[in-house]
This record gives sequence, structure tokens and C-alpha cells, in this order.
Amino acid sequence: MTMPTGHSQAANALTPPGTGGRSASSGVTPSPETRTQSHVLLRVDGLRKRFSVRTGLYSKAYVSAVDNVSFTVEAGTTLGIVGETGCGKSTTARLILGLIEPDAGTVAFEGVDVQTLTGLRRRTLRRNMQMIFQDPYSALNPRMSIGESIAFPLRVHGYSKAEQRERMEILLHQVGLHRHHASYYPHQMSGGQRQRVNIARALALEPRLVIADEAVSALDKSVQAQVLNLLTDLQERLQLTYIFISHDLNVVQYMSDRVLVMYLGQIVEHCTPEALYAAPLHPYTQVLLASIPDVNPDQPPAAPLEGELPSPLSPPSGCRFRTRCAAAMPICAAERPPMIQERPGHFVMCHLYGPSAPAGRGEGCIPIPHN
Amino acid sequence: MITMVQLPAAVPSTADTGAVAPRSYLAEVRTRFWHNRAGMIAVSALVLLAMAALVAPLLSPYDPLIGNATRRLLPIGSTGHLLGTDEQGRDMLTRLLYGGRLSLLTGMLPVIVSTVIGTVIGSTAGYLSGPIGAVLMRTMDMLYAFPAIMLAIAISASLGPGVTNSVLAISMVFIAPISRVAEAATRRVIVLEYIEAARLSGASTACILRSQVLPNIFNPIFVYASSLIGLSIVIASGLSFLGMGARPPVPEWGFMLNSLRGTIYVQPWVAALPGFLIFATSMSCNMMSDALRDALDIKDA
Amino acid sequence: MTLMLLRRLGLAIPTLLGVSVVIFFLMSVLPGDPLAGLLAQDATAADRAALTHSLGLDAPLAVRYIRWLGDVMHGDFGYSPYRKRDVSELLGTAFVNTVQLAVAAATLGIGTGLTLGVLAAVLRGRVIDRLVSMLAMTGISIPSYWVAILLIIIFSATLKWLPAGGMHSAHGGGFLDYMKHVAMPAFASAFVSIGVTARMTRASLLETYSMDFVDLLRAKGLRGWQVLVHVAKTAASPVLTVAGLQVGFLLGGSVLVETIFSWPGLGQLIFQAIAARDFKVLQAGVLVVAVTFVLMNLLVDVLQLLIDPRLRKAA
Repeated sequence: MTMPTGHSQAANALTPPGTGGRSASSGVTPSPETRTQSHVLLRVDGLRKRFSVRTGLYSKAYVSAVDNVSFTVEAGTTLGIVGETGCGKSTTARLILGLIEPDAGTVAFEGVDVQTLTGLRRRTLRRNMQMIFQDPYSALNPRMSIGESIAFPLRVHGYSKAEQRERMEILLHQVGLHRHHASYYPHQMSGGQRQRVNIARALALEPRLVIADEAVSALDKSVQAQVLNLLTDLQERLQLTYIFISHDLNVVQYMSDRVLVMYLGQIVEHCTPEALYAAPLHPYTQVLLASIPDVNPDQPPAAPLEGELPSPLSPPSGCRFRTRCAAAMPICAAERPPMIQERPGHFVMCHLYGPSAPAGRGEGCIPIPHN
Repeated sequence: MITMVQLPAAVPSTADTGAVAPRSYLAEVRTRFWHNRAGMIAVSALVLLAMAALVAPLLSPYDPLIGNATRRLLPIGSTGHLLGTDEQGRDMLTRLLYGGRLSLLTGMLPVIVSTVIGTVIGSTAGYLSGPIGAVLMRTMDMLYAFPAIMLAIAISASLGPGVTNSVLAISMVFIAPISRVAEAATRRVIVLEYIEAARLSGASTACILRSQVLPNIFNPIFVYASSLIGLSIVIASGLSFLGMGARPPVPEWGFMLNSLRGTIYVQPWVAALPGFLIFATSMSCNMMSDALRDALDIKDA
Repeated sequence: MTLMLLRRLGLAIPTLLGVSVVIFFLMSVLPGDPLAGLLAQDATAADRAALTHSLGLDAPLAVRYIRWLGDVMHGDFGYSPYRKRDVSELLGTAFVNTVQLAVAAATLGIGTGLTLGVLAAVLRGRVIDRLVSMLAMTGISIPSYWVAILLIIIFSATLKWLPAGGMHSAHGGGFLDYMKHVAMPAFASAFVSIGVTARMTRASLLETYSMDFVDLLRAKGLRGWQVLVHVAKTAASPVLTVAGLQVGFLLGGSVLVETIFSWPGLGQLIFQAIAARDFKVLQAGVLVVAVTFVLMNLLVDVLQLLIDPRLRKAA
């Protein structure tokens, strides 16, 4: 496993087969023999994006939306990205897909740097990556029937009318809808149904990678479960790779093989869901987990996160989380923490670990009520 | 070609399998409009007027251009001249019917022309944002800074008299407000996620504008444009009234209103007739536009 | 906030410049001979050429524009060969007359419109609401020049109460005489404004009344008229915009109404200039109208910024 040159931070680890958080629910654990050799499908390196904001008549400021984000995704796995609103998850997704141009960094699909391609070759490569959007309503054109919406990507790529129809009906069936739904309009369907349509559309061009950007956040809990099961199912049948973005920790844990935690545009922790739950390392992650409401009345409520989310226009120097961190040290203001592999396969960006770790530290610094 | 493994759906379908395809959007709009009494009255009136104007030769034996000097300025209700005669002895009813053709034409044509051009300009400006969009909209702002009638008069004055020129003038006046409506509507649509989805599908800018943006900005533009028809008729007649539109002897309501001005003291009500028709037509158009707006207001995104 | 004000003021300048460009361009393609009326009957081609040159009409368009703009900024609008006067003189008196008419019409139109709109909104569903809606619809559809003619028919030809034209009677006259002369033109212009303003006021009030904060105010125990005061502040914004536009409409429509009533204002001046191909007067007249409209809109925008805190961007 080679490290990307020039970066001491994000290392890329292989996920041992069969340890995905969903194996229990789907009942089928891919055995080492049936799974094809895992390989890196997507590699993101040093992605950066700033947005300019007008703050006065002649002055502009910059919002650092995504700052030096790097990770890889194995084929057939699910990478979860979790974080608060505004932490840069959606921007990262759009940078990967090419909806926004990055200021710096590379996106490599199956080893090919997307930015080095142009024109038709780029378009062809981009077919492999699709997205399921958050809002089931505004993600569909209200003036087009859902059949037309699903078939639109096919239309763009020159499929014949008959081919479009055939594929569209197959897709509808795959997501659990019926072919007569094709003539329905978005406002005539429920939220869960609309999200199925979104999934069908995302699958139209047979992508290898699907990014689900808060795909279930707008749905009722009961419907969420159905859609998540559908997504899991489709992943197995169609050999899909997912990047699953959510602010809901439970959902991310359920769906993912590996999890990224983002804060103010940076990755602060990177590990498996089990490790995230059992032994979170970064103070931010610890507080996130602690704030999940517990049904057990005997469990004391955890201390809430102090302070407001700092303005993305002028993020704190050094470690961006230090203004809300109970364990902040002087070095946190001075230097940006490096990404440390504290445990095998478990990376964290915090001065509490690695060379600047205070002496005599234990597992974490904030006691977590364990379930 | 497509080789997908067809496995049973992961979750039972939540849809009723026996349902009929739902009514289309247009059908719903049509029904709503049908039930709007004011709108239906207005539409009927307009249709009646249009048909009457079209078949004017069949409805009246008189010549609209040549009058009988001995039968000048007869009052309304005279024998043989239901609506009286004008200052040259021409039958008013005939002239009003023939005049209807021009008035309806000068009402609809400028709106159609300016809607097409204004939509193209506005939607392009809204989609492209950036410098191109800014330049386009600033240019529109320069035209927008004039009161409509004044601009129409000024353009008409520079182009010269004639029906074609007044149609051109009014078209130019309307392009600016329509492009504004188009630009605002486009801006609202652009940020919605289905546009991103369309871009992800690999569609070109032109394709997205045509198939995704246009159908969704159609409603507000259509409603606004239909509200301009009445105004167009009033302005066009106004231009003719001032002598800048239709030339004599072609009958046109605005022109007739002006030429009969001198006869106010003799046959006041005959003199007022052309104005009444301008008013009635304009009012019907506005009522129809209102009804359209209400009918389209079902489930707009 | 001052920033926004400055920005808005700043935007007005290119708009004004743009307006002047449009007018100049329009007028430069005006058919007709700009030299007509300036030369004697037996002028030769050489005379024409000389006059053309001395008037600067043979210079390229852009240069002529700059010269004209410079002159205008100094208040020099040129000379009218038909009226044998300086254009600025003509403009001055005409503008004052039009302003009088516009003020009268605006007060009448917007005032009545506001009252009717409030009535219709507060008494929603009753007969008066329907009446006002009908009136509003009539107002926006009716041509002002027809209203003018109807008024003359009724009040001058038939009833003989009011004079059919002019600003004053021949023998001069006092306030009452002036009122008699201004009544019909003002009303003819105002009728449309009544319709538009009433409609917008009613719609804006109804929309504001349906907002959640009104329920809160009522729950707190505020009386009807107290609620109205709060609602008025929010509902005022679109009404203000429309009122500003009305002034523009009044100015534009002045050409028609003033011509019918022989009111010696800017509108009539422009109309006569068109008929006589009086190039300079036409240019200046349209410019004055347009500039007034732009400044009026600027005023409305500034007022909007002051009354509606939502428009002020937080730093």
C-alpha cells in the first residue's frame, strides 16, 4: 500500500473483507472467495475549495469549504462521511463528481485522474459516478413525469426511445416501483417513492460509484429503513460502491464499512464504524457520540458541545476545533495537528495523539457513556 | 445491451398495482380554468370579438372606407346604422368590426414577439450569471428605466408612423420587463437539485435550458405576458390616437377615437364608442389573464 | 446600511447615462430633416453643408453624443427653430405645469387607491370588496385617453360644469378656476392609478394578514387597529414600489392626457415636437421625463431600504 507522495497525513488502509457494519442485517457476508480482489475505485488527494464572499464594497473574503481532504474508497464498499451542517461534506461530494471545480487536489477514478481528461473521455468517465440527492422533491423536475426523469440521462447519451423505455422499466422494478408509475408526476408520489425514483435515475447509466448525499435525511424514520435496505440490496446485486453522507451517526454506522468524520472542511477522524462507536479518539467525535440521545434513564446526559460553530470566514488557527474542545492545549492554537494512525486502520487529526500527545494519557479524554 | 439480473424487489412495492395513470398537469389546469366564471366570460367575449372581426365582411354590407356624406354623424340606433355613422358618413359598426382586426393584432403580436426574445435573453442571463448575464441585464435595465408609454412614443416617433412600426415599438418596450421575469424565474430554478442531476447526466447547457429550465419558467412568464396583452392594445390604440400608428383611412379604434374628437359636441356617444371597445377588449384580456394565473397556481415548484 | 444606500445611488448614475444614450440614439435615427426650418427657401447645397458643419451634425455619432451630453449638463438643450425659443425655456414652464398635474393626479389616484385597497382588505368578502375589485380591474384596463374623452362629454359638453381644456380661463382666474381646469385631467390620469394601487394594496394587505406573526399579535391581545399598524409596515413595501411606478405611468401618459385637455405641459410639448419634427425639443423632453422617472425610482428604492429592514444586508 503506497502512500501518496508529499503527504504525511492521510494514509490509505485496506478494509478486511466482511467487517462491514451491515453484514448482520443483510444476512449475507461476502466470503473472501466470492469477493473479487478489493481495489481502490476512487482516490481523492488534497482536495481544496474556497468560495469567495463579498463582505463590503470593495472587500472579499474566502470561505474555506474543503481543506486538504484525502481518502480512498475500495470497490464494493461504503464510505460514510459524517459531520455537522456546513462541514463540507456536500461540497466534497460535488468536487468528486465534477459539479464544482476544485482549487487544488486530484480525483482519480480507477487510477485515472479525472482532471487530465477532456471532452468526450471526461464525459464517459463521469458516467461512472452518480449522486442521489437529499430533497426528494426538488431533486425531480416537477414538469417531467418520473419516467421521463429517469430516462433523461439515457436520452442525453443517445439511447433510442425503445431502449430508454426498456431500461427505465427495469430500473423502476429494481427500486420497488411499478412500471405504471412512469407516467406519474413527482407531486403525486410520497417522499419515499420519490427517493426511489432518485435512486433509479442515479442508476440509469450503470455507475460504479454512487454518492448518497443525505439521501434519507428528509424521510420519515420508517421509510428511511426501507430505503436503506433497498440501497444495501442494490449494492450487493449491482456491485456498487457508495459514499454515504449524513449528519445522522446511526445511519452512517449502519451503512458504512469505513467512516470519515469532517469538521469545518477537514477530516478529523477516519476509521471503521465499530471503532468509531467503541473508542472514538477525536474530541469532536466523542462529543458527537455522547450527544446521541439514550433511552436509558439512568444514563447521565452528556455535556453539550460548548460554543458556536466558528464562522467559516475566519476559522480558528491551528486546530479548527480548539475553540470548542474541552481538552485544548497551547499547541492547538499554534500548529495544525498532523493526521496520525493511532491504531491500525484508525486515523485521527489531533494534538492529543502522536508526537505532541501529553504524557500519561488514556483511551480518550472525555468519558463516554458506553451502551 | 443491457444485462441486469432481475431479482425480486428488496421491499414490497408500496404502489397500488391497479391504479389508472393520473391526470396530467394540463388537464387539471384546464378544469380549473373552466370553473372560473369571470375567466370564461372574458374568454367568450374575446372569442366572439375575434370571430366578429374576422368575418366582418359577412356581418355588414357597408364599406368601412367609403362613407355617405349625406348621412354623417347619425346617432346610435338610427335605421340602417345600428351604431351610427362617423364624421365621414361611414357606418360605425362596420368600422368598429374591421378595426377590431388591427386592434387584436397590435395587441397580440408585440406580446408574442417580446415574450420569445425576452425569454431567451432572460433565461440566458439567469443561467450564465457571470459577466455575460450582467451585461445583458444591465442593457435591459436601461430600457426598463423608461415609463412604458413614453418609450413606446419615443421609439414610434423615431421609426415613423405605421402599424408595423408601432408593433415593433411596443415589442421593444415589453422585452425588458419580460426578460426580467424570465431571469428571476431562471435564477430560482437553477439552484434546484434536479438541474444538478441533469448536469450529472452529462447534458449540455443548451439541452438543460431547453428541457429542464424552460418548462419550469414557462408559468410565470406566460402569466405575465398574458397580462400585457390588454396593455398592448391600449398602448397601440394610444399611439394611433396620437397619429403615430395606423394611418387613415384604415379603421383602427384609437385613430377613430381621435378623429371623432371634434364631434363630441354633436354626437358624443358615437364619439365614445371606439374607446369603449378598446376598454372592453383590454378588460377581457386582463380578466382572462387573472383567471389563467389562478388556474395555473396548483402545484408550482 | 449606508453602504447599501451608496450602492443604490451609485447604480443610478450608469442608469442615467444609459438612458441618455438610448434617447440620443433613438433621436438620431428620427426620420426627417434636422435642418428643416433653419434654412431659407432658396438655400443652396453649399449653404446646407455650411450649416450642417456649423451645427456639428457631420461629426461621428459618439462625438455628437458627448457634445450633447456636455451641453445638457450645463443646462443647454439647444434652440427650437419652430418655437423660436431656447429649449430650456420651453422645458422649464412645461415641466412645472406637468408636475402640477402629476402631483394632483398622484395624490388623487394613490390616495384613493390606498383607501379603497385598505377598505377592501379589511372588509374582505363583503360587497365593497367585490366592488373595489371590479373598480380595480376597470382601472387597469381602461385607456386614460378614453376616460378623458368621457369626462369631457359628461362634464363639458353635456353638463357644462367644467372647461374642456387649458390651464386657466382666458381672463385669468383664481384658485377655483384653476381647480376647475385641473380636475378632469387629473382624474383622467388618476383613474388608472386608483385601480392599480387599490389592487396592490388589497393583495399586499391580505398576504401580510395571513402571515403567522399576525396570529401572534392577536393572541397577545392587540385590537384590530393596532394589528393594522403592524401589518401596514410590512405590507407597505410592494405598495410603495407600485406607487413609484404610477408616477412614471403618469408622466408617460401625460402625452395623451395633456394633448386632449390642451394642458401646456411636457406631454403636450413632446407631442407637438413630434408633429413638427422639432428634433431638439423632442430629445430634451423625453430626456427630462426619463430622468425624472429614474430619480423617482431611486427615491422609492431608498425609502424601501429605510422601511424594510429585511433589505438591509447584515455585515
